[in-house]
Amino acid sequence: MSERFGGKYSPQTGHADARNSYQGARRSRVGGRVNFLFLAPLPMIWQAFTSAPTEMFLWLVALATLLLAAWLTRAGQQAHEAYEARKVARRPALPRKILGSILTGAGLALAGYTGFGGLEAALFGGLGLVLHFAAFGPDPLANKGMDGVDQFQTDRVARAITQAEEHLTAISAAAHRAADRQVSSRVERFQTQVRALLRTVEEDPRDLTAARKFMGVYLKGARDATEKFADLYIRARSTEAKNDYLALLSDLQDSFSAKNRHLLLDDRSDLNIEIEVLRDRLAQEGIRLDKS
Amino acid sequence: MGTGGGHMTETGLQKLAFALLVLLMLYASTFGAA
Repeated sequence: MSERFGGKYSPQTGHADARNSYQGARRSRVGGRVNFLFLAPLPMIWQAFTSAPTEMFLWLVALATLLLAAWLTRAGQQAHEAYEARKVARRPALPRKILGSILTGAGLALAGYTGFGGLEAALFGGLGLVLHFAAFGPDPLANKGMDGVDQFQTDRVARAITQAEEHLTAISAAAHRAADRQVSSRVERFQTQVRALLRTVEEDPRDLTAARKFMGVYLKGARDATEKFADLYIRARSTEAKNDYLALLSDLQDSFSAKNRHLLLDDRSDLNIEIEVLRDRLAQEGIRLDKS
Repeated sequence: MGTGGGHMTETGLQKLAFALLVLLMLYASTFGAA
């Protein structure tokens, strides 16, 4: 949604110092480059329809193979980026970039066979495969950060987070319906806080039990409240209702933030234990730590 | 491609390979005696 104004000196935007929703956002690197893979084989259409029927068929199959390869490559890159962005991630079920390499080789081999001959087919195919692999590399083939983590537990966390994200989307939609700048920006800040909690749980699945109520019941309540408020506000534009709703959001946000701080404190004590253990170990082995 | 934390970075070699790949595709699809 476009925003006409905002910031510290604009009316009704709330706290300027609050963390905005772009915090920690990163530009995707899956950019325009991959799109060239869709464009480069397109001259084959012209080739196809200026040649004999059998060759036309082969050209079109080659084109389709290369387009499929380009599509797989792009999807694979997106998956790889998502994999790298997370601390704990499972490897992609389908190694799309590797498949893209193979299909690129196959498509080029077919094009070489149709347009030139058998030897050229092998050359094009081999070259295409190697170049594609060099340009995009393999997919991540191992799970990351999953050793020692219970599979069942991670699945539970993933499910709970997906559900929470669904609630957040519903809240956004309802707030958007209310068409009020102040409400939208307030909801956005609330969501940033909720997402911070979700990231905390994601990084340490043990926190799920403690945060479950927040991710389920409270968030669902917030969603229902937002929907009711939006319905009411569209009809009546009642300032009172708006203030009540904003107060509710503030309370919720405070409790989410407190919970998050509490969970992080646990992580902190884990860290302290690690440090203590290592210190003791070093001391036992006669290595003195300079405490100054 | 960085395997460490953070996001993908690309080397010059990867860019070169990509450019060559696109050229190869154009070559294979444009020339060729029909």
